[in-house]
Amino acid sequence: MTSKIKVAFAAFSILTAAGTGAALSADGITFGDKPSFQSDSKFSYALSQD
Amino acid sequence: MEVQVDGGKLPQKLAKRVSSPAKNAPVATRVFSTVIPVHGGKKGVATTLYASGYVLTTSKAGATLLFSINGQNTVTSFGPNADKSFVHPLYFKAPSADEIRMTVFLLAERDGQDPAAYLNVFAIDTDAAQAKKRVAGK
Repeated sequence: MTSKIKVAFAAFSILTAAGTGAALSADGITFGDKPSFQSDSKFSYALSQD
Repeated sequence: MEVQVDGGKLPQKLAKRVSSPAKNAPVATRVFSTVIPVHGGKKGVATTLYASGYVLTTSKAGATLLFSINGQNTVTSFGPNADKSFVHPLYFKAPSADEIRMTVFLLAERDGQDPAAYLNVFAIDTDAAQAKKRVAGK
């Protein structure tokens, strides 16, 4: 299983900051399920697996 | 996130997308920072993050993208007459990392009133499995 993160900017027009639940494991390296800091709330953060 | 300086030469469809256009300004900037926790990074992290975006500049205009991860920086300058999408990689390697501190800085500038420049970054991606493989292979 792999884990990917995406920080997507939506032209500063969409207010989302949603994670996808628990962090996804990837053989030891794991990203948090949400940012611990962000300078602007107008972006989305997502974990995905494939 | 996006930034623009425009003397009225940008295509209307792009001009409409900019929420706060810096009309009549010779330089415009925008910055965004985020911190993402990393678990299991005590033995090292090595991965590539990709900033995807689009740049459009006329003559006598330019744009700059600065991408910083935990103090490791890359700067990409786009010259005049650019009109392209890009995927800009930043190879990040650290002996230990508990978090990814990421900053994106956009700058658009022009020489004179008529030129225009537009730069955006719409996504940043990375892959944890790739990070693990690269650490194992170092």
